[in-house]
Amino acid sequence: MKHDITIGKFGITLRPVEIEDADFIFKLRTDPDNSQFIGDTNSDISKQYQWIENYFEQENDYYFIIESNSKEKLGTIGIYDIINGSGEWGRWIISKKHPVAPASAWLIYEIAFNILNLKEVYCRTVVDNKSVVSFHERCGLHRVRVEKDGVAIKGENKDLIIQMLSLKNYKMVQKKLEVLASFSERLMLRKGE
Amino acid sequence: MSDLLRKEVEQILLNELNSAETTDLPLKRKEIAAWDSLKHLEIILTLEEEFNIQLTSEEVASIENSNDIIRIIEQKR
Repeated sequence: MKHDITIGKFGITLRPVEIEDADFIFKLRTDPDNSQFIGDTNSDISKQYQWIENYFEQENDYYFIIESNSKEKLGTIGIYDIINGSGEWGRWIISKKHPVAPASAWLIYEIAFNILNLKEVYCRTVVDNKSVVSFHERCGLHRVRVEKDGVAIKGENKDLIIQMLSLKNYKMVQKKLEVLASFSERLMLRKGE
Repeated sequence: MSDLLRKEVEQILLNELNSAETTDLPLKRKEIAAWDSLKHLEIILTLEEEFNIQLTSEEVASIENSNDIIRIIEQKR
């Protein structure tokens, strides 16, 4: 949906996706390192534009571009499928240039629990994407279940691991992320030294 | 590539990762689930302190295995 949430900390900003971001999103999603872990992306870029147009019409769907302070696009992230105070967060793809995973995760939890006032969020991660499953576990999310054949990737059905974070625990998770999010900000400031 | 440096770096990684997967050398990020993006930054913090160096964001993002770490440390010493 078209929304106006923009939030920044640790040297990055999450701002609403615009139609002009279609090329960037398409490149990110079709990068071989990323596409092995996300649902199939149509190879026709015009479909990406159409997807964003459709997304603008979807209620309870907040899609963001992750940007550096210098407006360099670094990735995407989103919260969607919000029902009764529970939403999925995902579409989390980060370019290889900068280690902004902790900072972007911190910000999406801030949006989920402090701006959208959700009661819980959950992630659905392809079982083969072990480093992201590990990331969420290390943060303190708890594994709820496995969704059999939850997504098709390159024509093959893959199981998804569902991990959950409740309102009660999100501050603790943010606390864990803060040290490393601050470190990643310092790393970005060292750029060009 | 110094053998001593290699051993030091690999020992730091093995301590940090504390994972049953970490048997083959060089250690590779893609092959070790515990070497996720949080752990990666923790490893970089430890390396910076241990070797008294500072890495750039691009260098941190470019590291895919233990050999990449050794190469970067050698360049900075």
